[in-house]
Amino acid sequence: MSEINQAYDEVMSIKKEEAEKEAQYRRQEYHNNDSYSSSGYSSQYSSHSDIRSLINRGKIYEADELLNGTASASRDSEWHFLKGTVSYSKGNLDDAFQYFETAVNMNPSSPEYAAALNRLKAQSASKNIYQNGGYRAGGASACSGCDLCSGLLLADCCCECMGGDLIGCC
Amino acid sequence: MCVADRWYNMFGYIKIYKPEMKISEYELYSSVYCGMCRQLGRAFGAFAKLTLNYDFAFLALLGLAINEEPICIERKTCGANPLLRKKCCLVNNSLEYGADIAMLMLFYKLKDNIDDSAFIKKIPLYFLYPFAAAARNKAGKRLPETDALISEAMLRQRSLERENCDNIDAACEPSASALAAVFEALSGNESQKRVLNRLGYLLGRWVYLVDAADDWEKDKKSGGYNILLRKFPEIGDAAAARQKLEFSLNLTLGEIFSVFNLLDTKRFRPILGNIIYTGLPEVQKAVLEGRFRKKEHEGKKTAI
Repeated sequence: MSEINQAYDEVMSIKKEEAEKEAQYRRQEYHNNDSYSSSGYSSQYSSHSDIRSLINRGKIYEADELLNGTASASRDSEWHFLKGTVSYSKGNLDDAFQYFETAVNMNPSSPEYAAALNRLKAQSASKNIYQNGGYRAGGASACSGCDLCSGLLLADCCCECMGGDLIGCC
Repeated sequence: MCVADRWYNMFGYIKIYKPEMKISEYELYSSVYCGMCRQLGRAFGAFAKLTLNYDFAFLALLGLAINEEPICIERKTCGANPLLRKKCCLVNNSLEYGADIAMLMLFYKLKDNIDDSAFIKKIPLYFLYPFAAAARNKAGKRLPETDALISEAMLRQRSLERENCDNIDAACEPSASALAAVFEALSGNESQKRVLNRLGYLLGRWVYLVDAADDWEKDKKSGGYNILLRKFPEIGDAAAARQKLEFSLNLTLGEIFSVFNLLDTKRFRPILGNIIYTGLPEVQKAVLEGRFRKKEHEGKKTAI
């Protein structure tokens, strides 16, 4: 468990560093943009990366406002991914899943989008949800061939203890 | 009790899975449950005891696990079984908080049901109303902010239902946000608050969805609002409709598991873990297979 925690901390600290670097970089970019574009409108790509840095800094609601304000024509795969991230942070998991799915469909080559989608998929797999209490999963109704054989073998062992024999060959 | 049954069934989904519990854990959980009952009776009168349920015992237990308040357990006689002296957790802040929240939720749920029901069905609810209102006033004085928050969430829920909202996330949002605020108030620590907020949000969301799945038949008959009926109106079969919700429920539970992993509990982790990792999936399975309420009723009969 401690190893897992350590690894988790490590990953988180790396992520944090990355986020900080990116935020710093964005801030610089932002200033650069401001210095030469007085109109206040930045290019398509940079508007999305602003939103991304907002999300990285945890400003979910501001990011959502910006996303909602984006014209529907410029809602590309990145927009869907970011919208999914925002929905996920808010706890709106169904929306998040749909946005991630759209993002992956629009841009199947991005590992980032695929990872986000796969994470939710794995998390919601029934086998991960009902993983506990294995002995209940079988129950009286579900008796597989394997159970049958091991049952017979056990019965044979019991019989042999008492001097009898159920299965002659073993 | 049977009147209360009909409208008071939104609660009781967050419970332990007894077969996986140690006896010591079970005894401790029972004593908290028992303490909750006593606190309800002490603060709000005998009527309030009838509304005792697992969800708020969970809330109290979570508070105790996080805040490490000293707890004191004594044997007390119990009204439901006067011959047996049961181990009972004496009153403390967490139990008080849980009981207050229970009364606030109860009042707004009752109010909502009165607004929704037909005239004939309203009459028995009106008899309960003064008790619930008095309890809410008492609790609301102690927790004015939470009171305002829940009342506001209920209003949002109503307007969503009026608009026949068919988005799962939007329909869950009011209940989830209310519970998020309730959970957040358990701790004073900032990072802990964030985790609790998310846990509350997701649990609220899960309870809302499970309740919708559970009430499918009832709402179909009565024409009441149900997110499942709105989202999949074409499905006429209860089992098929419920299965449609499994994905959303699984998503939510999976997320609850990972948030719970981040929660820093000082004690009672096995009990809370039992509720989160086995209790919730077990209830979800029972609801999706349509055997949850049935089991409850059978349970009651044998208990009496």
